[in-house]
Amino acid sequence: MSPSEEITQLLVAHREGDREALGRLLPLIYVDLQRLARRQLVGRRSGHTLNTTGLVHEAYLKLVNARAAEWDDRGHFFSVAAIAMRQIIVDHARSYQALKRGGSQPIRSLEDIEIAVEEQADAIVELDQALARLGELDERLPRVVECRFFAGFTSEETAGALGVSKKTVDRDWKRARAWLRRALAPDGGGQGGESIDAG
Amino acid sequence: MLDERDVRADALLSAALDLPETERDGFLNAACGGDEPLRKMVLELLRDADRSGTFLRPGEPLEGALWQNVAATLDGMAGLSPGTVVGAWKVTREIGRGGMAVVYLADRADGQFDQQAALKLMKAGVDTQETIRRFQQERQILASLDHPHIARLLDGGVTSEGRPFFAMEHIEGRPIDRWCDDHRLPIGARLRLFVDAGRAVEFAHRHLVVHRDLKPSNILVTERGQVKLLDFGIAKLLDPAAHHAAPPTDTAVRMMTPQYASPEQVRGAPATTSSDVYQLGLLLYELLTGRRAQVIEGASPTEIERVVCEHVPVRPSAVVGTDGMPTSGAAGAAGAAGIERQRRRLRGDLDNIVMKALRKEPESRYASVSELVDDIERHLAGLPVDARPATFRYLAGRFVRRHTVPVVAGSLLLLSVLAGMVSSLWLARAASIERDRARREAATSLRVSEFLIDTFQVADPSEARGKSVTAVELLDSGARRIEALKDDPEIQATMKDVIGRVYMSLGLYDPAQRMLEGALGIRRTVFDDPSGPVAESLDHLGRALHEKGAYDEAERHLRQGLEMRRRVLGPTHVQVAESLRNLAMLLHFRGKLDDAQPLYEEALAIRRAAYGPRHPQVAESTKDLAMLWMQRGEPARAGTMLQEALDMLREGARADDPRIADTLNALGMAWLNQDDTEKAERFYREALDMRVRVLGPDHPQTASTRGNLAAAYYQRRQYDKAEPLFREALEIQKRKLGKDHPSVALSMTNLGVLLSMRDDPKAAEPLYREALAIRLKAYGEDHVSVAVSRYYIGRLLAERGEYPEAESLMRTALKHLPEKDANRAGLYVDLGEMLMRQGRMAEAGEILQQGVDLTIAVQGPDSWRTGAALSARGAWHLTRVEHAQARADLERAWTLLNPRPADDPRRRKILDRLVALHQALGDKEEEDRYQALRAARPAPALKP
Repeated sequence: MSPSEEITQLLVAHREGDREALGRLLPLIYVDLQRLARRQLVGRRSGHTLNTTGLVHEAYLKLVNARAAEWDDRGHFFSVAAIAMRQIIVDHARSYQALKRGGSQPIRSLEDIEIAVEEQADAIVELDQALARLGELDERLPRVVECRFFAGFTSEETAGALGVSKKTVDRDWKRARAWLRRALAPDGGGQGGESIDAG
Repeated sequence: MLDERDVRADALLSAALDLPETERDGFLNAACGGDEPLRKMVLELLRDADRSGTFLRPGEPLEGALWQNVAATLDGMAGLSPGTVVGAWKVTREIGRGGMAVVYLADRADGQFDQQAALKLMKAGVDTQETIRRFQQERQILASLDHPHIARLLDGGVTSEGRPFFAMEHIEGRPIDRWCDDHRLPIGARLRLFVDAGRAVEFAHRHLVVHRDLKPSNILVTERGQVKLLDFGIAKLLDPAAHHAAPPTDTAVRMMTPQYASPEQVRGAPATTSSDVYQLGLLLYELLTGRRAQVIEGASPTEIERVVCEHVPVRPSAVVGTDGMPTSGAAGAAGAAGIERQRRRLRGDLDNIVMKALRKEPESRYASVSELVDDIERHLAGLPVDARPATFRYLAGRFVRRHTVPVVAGSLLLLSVLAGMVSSLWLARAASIERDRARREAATSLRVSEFLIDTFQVADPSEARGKSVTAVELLDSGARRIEALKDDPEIQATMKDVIGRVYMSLGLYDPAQRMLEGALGIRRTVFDDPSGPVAESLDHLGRALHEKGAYDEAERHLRQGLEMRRRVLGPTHVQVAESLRNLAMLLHFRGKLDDAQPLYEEALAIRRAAYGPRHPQVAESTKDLAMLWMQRGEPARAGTMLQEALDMLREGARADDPRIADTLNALGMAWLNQDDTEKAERFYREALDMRVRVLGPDHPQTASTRGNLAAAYYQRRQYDKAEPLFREALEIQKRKLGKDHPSVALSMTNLGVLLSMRDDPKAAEPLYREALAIRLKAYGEDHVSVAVSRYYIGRLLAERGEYPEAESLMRTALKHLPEKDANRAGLYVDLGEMLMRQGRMAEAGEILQQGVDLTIAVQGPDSWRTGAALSARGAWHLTRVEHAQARADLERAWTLLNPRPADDPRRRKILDRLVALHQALGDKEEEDRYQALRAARPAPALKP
């Protein structure tokens, strides 16, 4: 079975209620997303920002037999892609943490960004943990965060990915941020002013 | 951890967010019911929810340095600068880049001792702790491989980012193929280098390490001429399939270099020592000829599979010089003389050794690398080698198995000559004649057969197809020679089996049966019962008996073969699918559709599981099921499945694969059954052209396609085109199948129908009668086609006024026609007409009523056949002076029959009836109108 056939089948299985299908799907697209991310980044050198949605869409077209999948499956794919993005990013953040604490010899990369990376790594790992707890409250909340935060989807795109209305997404996004703020910055300190919500 | 309070708070938060701001306070007051801490919590949450700001800005991680590093890591773009430390190693400089890794020169950095290594840093990470742990385990084993021809693995590990790295003994050298060319090494020297490499692999195998990725770039030769193998077993460490149960996701990862892959690797099976043998074979081929054995253009998986798993490369001695250039050095001289010398050097032992290592089935190769290397050393020492030339079973057998018609005049000559050659070589060995003399004695036949092998391999076999006369002569003489092989019953049985199948594919069923029975008998004595070979013979014999028409015997054999295969091979083996299919086809043919269907379905399931969803074998099984649906009267469904099968075949099979013609033929039938004669004709034409080309004009299958095309013409009333085709088909079938074959009966019947449409019923009757006799003998009393024959004869006799016999025949036929059947409907109508003519009105009425109802049910309310039924019933009403009903029926009948051509007897009859009706009604005007229509000549426009 070709990769795209397998992916399509798993999407269909997920639609039909197979809980494990999504889990099996993830590793399949992981590698491809990484590859696509890399390509995007090369383009980014010239300055334009990483267009994650485009990236995932591209991955979707490449990997999924669009004829066989239904519209709903595309949404599922996007939500899975968002999960993948989270995983990719968190994984790398963790490895940086391991770096700090010793272990194998480090590979030294470009010095100047190292500090920024470390800080960001800590924040990401903490977020990841908080997200896991958030999921106990409502399973959809981490999904929304994956889509909006990790993958950079708009709320419309998120709605499509999760199969809910935009209104629900907006509300859930607010909920999630409320709880996460509470968990991660309990002093509630002034996080800056009136910057426009990207959603 | 979550507590109750949080859950409640969240629910309230959620609800509040849905309300306009002004209503929130009120809502919360009510909902919290005095629980002040809860209310405060929710208010805080609401405030945080509504706050914008930079907290969790969407897409933020993707802009950060972290993500950059992700990407850089992935690509390995973070090229290590000199001085970077990886594990215990310090990078000196980059020395190479590959698809999967970057290679650096590195020095030992921990001060333990001076050592230089090639540091291979993989670009991608490994993802789990489990993988890393296993990786470490395997690394230990590899590091222990201490052999002069194996590059030592010094160290290895996983970086903090999860990227594996290996430190290997740094080898300065050239890939072995380049080395040999650079130094213009003659063949002997090349072989000795190969032996060195082979011994290294042998050593690793003893330590249970398989290389998996043997190719020239992994086999280096140093300045001093020492062979060094790199990357032992590393392929396995990196292959996800080796670590997880799930198959690898990316074909490219699985098959790193398709040109050097073994068939098992292409299929995704785990690599074994046997695939190392295969890869060594590829290497040897290249060293001896300067050409790759597997040349793959394009990267499509189908193409890769075809080249690696199916295409047998041309023998080394035959391939040199095909582009005018000898291998550098291998020939010792340039030009034609050099080519000839190189050919001679390679012919015989070396050819055999290479080809044995390159057999597609692992069991047919050298059982171990030791055996391969030993054979080469024997050759170098001038001793006889173990490798024997490909027996024709191998060559022809592969060919026969893949195609039902291996009619290649050259290959058949090859069969018989090889039989002679193999037997003489065998005899030589048995008598322990020393090698030279044995070779001399076999030399003549060897040379002839080699010439033919060349022709067989290099030429396009389909060009020679169709020369069936010569083939038969050769088959017969080959069959005679087989008798001389009594000393080797296994080979004899195999040859009989192959020749038997060739006979069968030519439509010569009696000699086929004899041969196959012979093979079965021998195998029963030589092998266990049950066993694979015995089951195979049972299956082949069963098929031949089916084709021949001995159905009971055929069924017995096929069932036995199926059970045996199930037992010996297990229920999911593809050969079980073969047997299921053969048995199902027989049952299907005998009309036992309900019995056949589950067998077809099982075969399809097995094939899907084994080959994947788009393989030609799956196409074949899809087609089988489609045929069943056709028979069940669902041509549209059958047509869809057939089109799918055709697409699959066109994708995956050769362009002249006979199954394509089979499917085209079936599609023609499907369209014909849906009354789309134009489409039917198109498909039949294509099928016929293909079959004439591939099978020859005389083959029974070509004949039956011819008959189908004729039926399509017939349906379009193009009788001039149809009649000669029917006659031709009939003649060929009689000749090839014998006058008692059911297909002959079908053709006779069709011809009879045609002739009676042309108003020549006298010529039709003997044909119908003969067809009936044949069918009775073949099927027995209760078969549908016997009933149909009886019906046709009955109808004919009824026209002639021979009512008693006609009635008897028709009533007998009624007993065995299915309930919802077009013939049954037609029979009712014809019988009813006849009864009317005899004045038996009451009986006629009942029958005609059934006739009308069934015709509408089977043909639809708008068919001209319904018109014919209504015409009959209308006439019946007329005889009973039931004018209103008569008029209703007859006028409706006229609407339906009017479009028919003017010479259609039914159309003439309805007009007669309408004239009579209006006469009875006293309506002169109408009477005249219909009279005029009846007299009018030019036909109205035909139905498109």
